[in-house]
Amino acid sequence: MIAEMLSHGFMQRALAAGLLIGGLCALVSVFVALKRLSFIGAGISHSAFGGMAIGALFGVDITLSAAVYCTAVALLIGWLSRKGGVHEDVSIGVVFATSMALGVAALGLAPGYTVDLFSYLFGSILAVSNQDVALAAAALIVVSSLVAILFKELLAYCFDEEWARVRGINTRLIQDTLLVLLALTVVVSIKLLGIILVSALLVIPGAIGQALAANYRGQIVISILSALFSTAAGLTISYRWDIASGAAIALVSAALFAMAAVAPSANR
Amino acid sequence: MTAVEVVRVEGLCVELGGVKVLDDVTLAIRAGSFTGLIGPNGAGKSTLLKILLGLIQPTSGQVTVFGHKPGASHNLIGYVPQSLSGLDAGFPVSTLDVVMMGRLSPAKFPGFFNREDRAAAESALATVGLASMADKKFGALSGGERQKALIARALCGGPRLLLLDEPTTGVDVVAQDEFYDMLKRLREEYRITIVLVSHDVGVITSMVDDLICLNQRVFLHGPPDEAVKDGMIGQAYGSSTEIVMHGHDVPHRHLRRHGEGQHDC
Repeated sequence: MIAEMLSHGFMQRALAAGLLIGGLCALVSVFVALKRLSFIGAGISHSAFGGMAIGALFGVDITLSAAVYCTAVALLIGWLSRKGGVHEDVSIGVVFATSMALGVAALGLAPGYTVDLFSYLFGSILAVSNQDVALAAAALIVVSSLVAILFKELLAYCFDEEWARVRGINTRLIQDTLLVLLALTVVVSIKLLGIILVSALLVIPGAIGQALAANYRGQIVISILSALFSTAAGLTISYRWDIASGAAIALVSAALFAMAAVAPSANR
Repeated sequence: MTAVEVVRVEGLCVELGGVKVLDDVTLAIRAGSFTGLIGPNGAGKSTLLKILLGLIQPTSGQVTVFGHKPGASHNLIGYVPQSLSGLDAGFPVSTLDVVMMGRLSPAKFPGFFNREDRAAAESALATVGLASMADKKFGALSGGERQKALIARALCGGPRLLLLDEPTTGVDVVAQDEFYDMLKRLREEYRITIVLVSHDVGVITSMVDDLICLNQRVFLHGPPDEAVKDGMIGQAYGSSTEIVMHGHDVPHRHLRRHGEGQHDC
């Protein structure tokens, strides 16, 4: 079955994009777990719906419009969280709901635009183009390079933000960078994982890593391996049983998390 | 001869969320001195440290640390925060990783820690007696060990001024004794200026050169024997107060009794 599956061009693209996106999401998810950004991740990914629909309304490339919109949302959430006054979960909840509503309104107004809503919400292996694979590769290079050169500041920001400020680190820049990386990861992952289900790979791999490893180095390795396995196995399931790819990948990932949560580990 | 002032605060007022936390605070900290900062809960002790660190902006008044604005001299200041509870015990970092965070600096941004940073962190761990714990997960250390590791983190940047905010809270008595011995040793070996916020009035009056009693305002600023002799510590916490302020290098006193109006400082 595997050989037959890989003989299809669309499956080759889906698998290539899947593994690149898996690595990308795994890397970002380590910081999502360390800084407890799960809700921000879900907020930004749902906001992508608004960004895509606005693109459709104005005839702009929807990946581009989603990228611009999600980056703006990420920076807005960062600004609101620093400004205080309103609790962060409230501001995320407002941005999240507003973006979804904006998306529905924009799609309603888009003249004769018939988007396959189901595949955007839950992911589709048929939706991945060569351009998407190239985009995922570029995003992986950008995100992994930035994470590498900012690693010590990112780790300190996640562990003890006040300390990072005491040492003269511009934590605002670090926070904004992390949120923008999260936003870009969401945008390149949407076609395969879906708006609703991209948060599975933004949250679960890092959490598996943290459950099993005593050190962030181990966490990163476990996070990447679990995400790669989840995407490869999920895409196979998606192909074999015709299930939305985002759902299949999220389910495999969740099963791994359940096993990690009960496994004996170095971190307990 | 006047000793060099490391910290100078004049007429500092701080309001946080519309609430006045510090009011017209004036004080100075001499280089090489050991200052105890005491006062009741909510007196603004932690706020004063955060002002010195540049984490909070003053509402009004002048503050200089090593002659510069707060926050500009981060390489010269070590800080040990109040509570361990803010740090996630599940965070997957080793004790050495945490201590190495003391080497962060805008000058090394972005980039990687080098061998020198690692050696400094190892040496700071040895100074606080935790050399054997370097690879242990930070969250797996006992409360006292974690507090020592945070002191190592503060030391490994090579500070000239160490600000400690109630560092013995939640630490058992044996570990507290060890901790105070270590502070004495650090002071003798490295000649660091130390400011220690504490509730442990008895212990710190026997250790410090200067005592500052804060309760929104400075109620006392002088050598501890004077404070103990005059029973002023109790007064500052209670109803009648005696205020000792530094003017321009010349300390002067002002006596105020509870119920009196505006005082002169």
